[in-house]
Amino acid sequence: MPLFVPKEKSKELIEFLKNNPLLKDLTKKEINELEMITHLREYKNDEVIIQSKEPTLAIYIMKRGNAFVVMGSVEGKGEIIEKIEEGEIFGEMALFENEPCSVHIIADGDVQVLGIFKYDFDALIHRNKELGIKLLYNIAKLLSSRLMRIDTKLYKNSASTNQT
Amino acid sequence: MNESIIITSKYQKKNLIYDLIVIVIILILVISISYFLYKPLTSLFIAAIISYLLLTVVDRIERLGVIRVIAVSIVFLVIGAILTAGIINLGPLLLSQIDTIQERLPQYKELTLNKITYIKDKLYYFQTTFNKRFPILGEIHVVENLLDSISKTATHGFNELLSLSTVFSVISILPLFIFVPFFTFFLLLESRSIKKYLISLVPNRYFEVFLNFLYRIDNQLGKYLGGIIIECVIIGTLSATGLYILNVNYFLFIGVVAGIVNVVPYLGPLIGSSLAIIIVLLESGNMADVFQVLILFVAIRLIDDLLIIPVVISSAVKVHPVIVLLAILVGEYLMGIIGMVLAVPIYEVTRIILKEIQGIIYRHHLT
Repeated sequence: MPLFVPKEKSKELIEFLKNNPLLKDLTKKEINELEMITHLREYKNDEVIIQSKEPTLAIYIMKRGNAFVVMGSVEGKGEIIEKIEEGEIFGEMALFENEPCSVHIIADGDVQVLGIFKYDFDALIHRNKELGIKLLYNIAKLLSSRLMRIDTKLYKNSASTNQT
Repeated sequence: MNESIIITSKYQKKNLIYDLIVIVIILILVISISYFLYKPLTSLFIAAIISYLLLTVVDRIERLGVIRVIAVSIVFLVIGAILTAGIINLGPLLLSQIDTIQERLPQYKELTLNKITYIKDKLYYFQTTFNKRFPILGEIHVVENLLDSISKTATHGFNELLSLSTVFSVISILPLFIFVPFFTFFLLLESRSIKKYLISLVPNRYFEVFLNFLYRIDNQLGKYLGGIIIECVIIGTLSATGLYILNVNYFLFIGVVAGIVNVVPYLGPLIGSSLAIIIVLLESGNMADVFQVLILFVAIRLIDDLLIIPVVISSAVKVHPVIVLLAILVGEYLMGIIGMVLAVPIYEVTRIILKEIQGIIYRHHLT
């Protein structure tokens, strides 16, 4: 009988993580380990999840709802450059860079995200090398697909500028 | 996608003032609860420290695939076995040494006061001669005043010790033996959900800041507390063994006390060695014995400074000695012995909180 966090909540998180395409090759034990360091957060419409120029200290998984990737200065108008959808991971740069984030992530409607602290994640992949390889491989795949998307976008942009 | 959206900063001036007030209220509540209720909550505090220190071990066992309840039980069984073995082997000897010291305390008191009177007479004679030779200096009463205050302090000290020996009676310690293991067991079992629950209470804008704050505290205090416990055990063992070799009475009692008081930085080692020297002075009165004990404690101090501290606590909290002493004095004033022990950790936590707040204010130009 836990005093603080109901068991159903952690069961629900485990179920969600198990069904995430990025984590599908993880074993039940590995999913449990990941759940131990996962925090469920709820954000309201237009609430800033990650603010640019702030040190990034966590990696997030969108559990329910969508979010915008926005460029622009704080307290002003920003341009939406990308959309994050349910199940997607964001803020993964925190794992590899000590630089502050370059974009804002803003909730589009009420959303639920799972936050994992950078150093908890670091400790996990150092502790459990097999799980670490799986997680880092999946994140690398995600980053390369994002890079390909940006390349295509840039190519299209330069092609349209050349035409004009 | 070329839509636009208004970006509202996470940290607003109006929020910050409100948040600071909330933080101050929480701090005041925590401090006043610890201050006013520290006696009934002592077992919970001790259990919290013990479970914090044992957390890594339990987590490691759990990661091997063992259910948490079993992991906690394994740790409890092992520690229980070690403690039982220690108590069976050394307990009776320690208790008999404490009993003898308690019985002899009034005798020690008389002995000390006699010695003070003896010194007083000698010095008084010296003072009179001095005044006769140099009448120009008039009547100087330094010696009487000084020795009067020393004998008063000594009498007061012994009375305190006599009352302390009743405080540490079995009846007052017994509840600790029941409640501390009970609380420790459940804190270890629930540690993760307690941490998650605390984090869930924090507003979104401080989610990452709070995680970072916990990480930094854990990193610094974990090493500090763990290191200090290891240091205490080593110092206690070295003192007891050294005193046993030197054939000093109550070697085990002095060793245990020297180990325990070592948790208080700077003052602890001083108290431990002074206790040993006073006991040797009162027991044998032989200056050669006192000198041997003095050398032993200097050697232990050197081993501590040159070997134990650099290896065990090197990367943990580094605080300026003046601040450490001030923190200890304030801790002693507010919460007595527990305050002295917790002074440095509490100072460190407060410093990290202020640093995090300062970081936010600085980054967002909120001043």
